Amino acid sequence: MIGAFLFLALQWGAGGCETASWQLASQGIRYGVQSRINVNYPDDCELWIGDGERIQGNQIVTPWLQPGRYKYTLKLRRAGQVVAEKEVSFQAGESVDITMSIEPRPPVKPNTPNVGDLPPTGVDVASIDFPDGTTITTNSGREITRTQAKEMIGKDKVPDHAKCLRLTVVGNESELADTKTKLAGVLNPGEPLVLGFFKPDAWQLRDLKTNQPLGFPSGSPVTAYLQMPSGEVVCKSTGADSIVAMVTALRQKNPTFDPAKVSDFAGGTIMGSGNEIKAGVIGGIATLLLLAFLRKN
Amino acid sequence: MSQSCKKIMAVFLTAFLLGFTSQLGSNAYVTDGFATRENEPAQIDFPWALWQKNTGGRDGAGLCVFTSAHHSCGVWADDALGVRFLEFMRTQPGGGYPDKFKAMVTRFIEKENAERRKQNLPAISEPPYIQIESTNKQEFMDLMARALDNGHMPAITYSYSPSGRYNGQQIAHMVNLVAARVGANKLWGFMDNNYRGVEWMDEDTAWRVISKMGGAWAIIFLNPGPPPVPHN
Repeated sequence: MIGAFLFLALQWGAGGCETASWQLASQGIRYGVQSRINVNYPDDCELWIGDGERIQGNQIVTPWLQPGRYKYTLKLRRAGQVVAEKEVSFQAGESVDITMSIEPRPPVKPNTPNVGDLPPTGVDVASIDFPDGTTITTNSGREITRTQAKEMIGKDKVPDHAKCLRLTVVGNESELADTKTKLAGVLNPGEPLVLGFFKPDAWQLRDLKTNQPLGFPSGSPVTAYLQMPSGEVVCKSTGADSIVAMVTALRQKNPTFDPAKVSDFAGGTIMGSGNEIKAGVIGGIATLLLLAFLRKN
Repeated sequence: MSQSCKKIMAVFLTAFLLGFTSQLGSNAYVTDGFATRENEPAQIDFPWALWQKNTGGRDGAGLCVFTSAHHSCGVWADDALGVRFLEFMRTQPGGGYPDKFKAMVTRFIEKENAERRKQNLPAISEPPYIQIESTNKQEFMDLMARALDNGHMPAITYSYSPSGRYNGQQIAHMVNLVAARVGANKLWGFMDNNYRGVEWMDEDTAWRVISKMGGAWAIIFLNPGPPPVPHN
């Protein structure tokens, strides 16, 4: 990776520019010395060498260099825009400290007038390019569709929490980590079960108005409640292995379930709809008419 | 006074009144708790004891984006972005926009993991979230309502206070949405990080409040909120 930087580094000596030395590094010949460039730059910017490579952190370590002088073009980007550019030249083996600063940002739009009178806000409207329509992005910056977003918010990838069972596990940090690892082995992605792992002093387990416990387990040893969405506790289990067994049991076949009793759509109707319903309605009306007729006579 | 002068004054007065009422939205009001005046509960019942007041970053610019994210994720969804994220942001320049938010979360997680490696603690990962930018009212408000119905607490842009906070001025702020389409009047509830209490308003007013800065921006963290209170 770093060898590619040498595309951007031109070497020149006393006689002026010479050929780029990247071939040597790409051939695995490691001789010479490395240089270090320490760059001080604003935290909300990204540091790039040219347009090719983003640098994580504040230090650039060059590949192994032959003696001579080299030059990098450094760029700062913010919100995808280049906001500062600087050339840095250095001798092979030299450590260089540089500072890259940018023009002060225009003040954040909010509260421009009478700023002292209002509480702080802080949305930098000048840096937002609102789309014509709707744009949705994930953590990674990947753009997704509205349908995908709806699924992520409510169904499929993230369960519909309002309708899912909740498993609330209370214990100390190591017990929680152990339980989490063991559960990961039995749960499938998208499982309709909302997991919550809490230390005994978590705010979620107390009534914050009175500071009294809400009734969750005290957490020693690690204990889990299986709750309906309404909060009703249907089962509890103590110990990581027992909790895993309880969750596994949720996934076992219901012994009363008989696949043969499920209606087959190949017959053209879904049970409880269509002809059965029509027949019921017609039969009911006929009975009422018959009763009325009998009473009249 | 001439007839034309009267007409001009009438036009100005009408325009003023229209502008005034559209800004203040006569139906907006504030309650102390997470329920409307009719006692219809919000989807989110946030613990006030863990509410944080907005502050500035190291350059004095506000941290409303990160304070709202702290409420949504650090408290409500109990994720890696705990109180330490907000502490970290207080050492950084203030002000927020979508790309900066993403960059700061990544940088914070990298920094946390560097420290955790030193202590032989397991690494943490970024909490899953999506960012929505929109100028389409229906699409945006439907997504927000869906998020709240599923127990998520969005952080959302906020341009003015229809109940008269911020001296009625237009601002560029981020707060938390705690209720969507609640009760017979289908009200929306906002929890500000500068003022305690929930500000309630109808959907049209809510959209104006959210989007008046040119569009709407929301961050939705996808991990679940707290478990329901246990009972038999």
